[in-house]
Amino acid sequence: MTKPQTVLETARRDAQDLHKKISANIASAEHATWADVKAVQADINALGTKMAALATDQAEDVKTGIKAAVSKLEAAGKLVEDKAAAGAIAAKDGVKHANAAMLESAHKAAQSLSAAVAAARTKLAHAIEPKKVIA
Amino acid sequence: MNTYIASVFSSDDKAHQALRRRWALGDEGELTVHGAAVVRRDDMGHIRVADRHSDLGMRTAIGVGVGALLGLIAGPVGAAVGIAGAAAMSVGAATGVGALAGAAVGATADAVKETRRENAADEAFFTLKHSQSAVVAEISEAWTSVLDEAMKPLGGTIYRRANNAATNAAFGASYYKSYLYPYYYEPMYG
Repeated sequence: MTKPQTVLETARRDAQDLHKKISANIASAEHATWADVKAVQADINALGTKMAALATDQAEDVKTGIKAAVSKLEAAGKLVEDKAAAGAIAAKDGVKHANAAMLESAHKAAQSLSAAVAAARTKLAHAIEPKKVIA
Repeated sequence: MNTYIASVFSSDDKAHQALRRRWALGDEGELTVHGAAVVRRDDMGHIRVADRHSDLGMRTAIGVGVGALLGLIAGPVGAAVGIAGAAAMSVGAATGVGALAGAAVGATADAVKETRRENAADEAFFTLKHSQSAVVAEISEAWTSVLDEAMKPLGGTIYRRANNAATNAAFGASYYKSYLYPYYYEPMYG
């Protein structure tokens, strides 16, 4: 039986998948293209939007982590735009730099969502744990 | 409770099984794995991360980072540093008034952290014997018994250390996180 996924868990899975995708692009360094970068950038932007919406319902420390990760995602997305505008598309360094920034932002996103998932699970565990009977 | 955890095994296969089981427990909601990596001490004595993509040099470099975390969790130097380091950092933070003083404290703290990381990396060599593998992870667990029970059939030794302000003050809050994969991956040796 498959366990139902919460919205947080789904977002976390997205961040993990993104990290895998960028890692694979980096691993194929010589063959990585600007088209690969742009494809990931779209995912980065989508994840950032999803996380920004999720942040509002979280506890303060978790919210801070998610907001920091969203900033990283936005910065990585902007870096890709700036490099494209500056004509770095053809340069291998441009692809490498963009991939590194996106990987770091995806890592941060996965970590902050992981913290959010853990906080939600802890809350649930406390809610269902047996309570002491006070005489 | 957020915890750094290391499990040392006599074989690569058991470490791989432990990594897989850990992430499976995460999927089941029994605990939350924030990141994990497998390191191996090869016949040459090097501690290397069992990584999918990195070349040998990078595997060694990352292995040193994860090895330091292993030493921090399992080694006696790491255990001592957690308490003493937290006290030292608290004093530093309290006296950090003025930009210049703050910068000086920061520079000293960085140097101290670097030394402690090196010490912790050395500790890893006492913990991980030749040809042994270890799973190093950051997890959140409500009950330690869940992971302990799951690891029992695999044998090995489990070490834990709280991921708290004291640990992070001594070693740097996000120093280790970048070394740990935020998802399950197939370890690659050789």
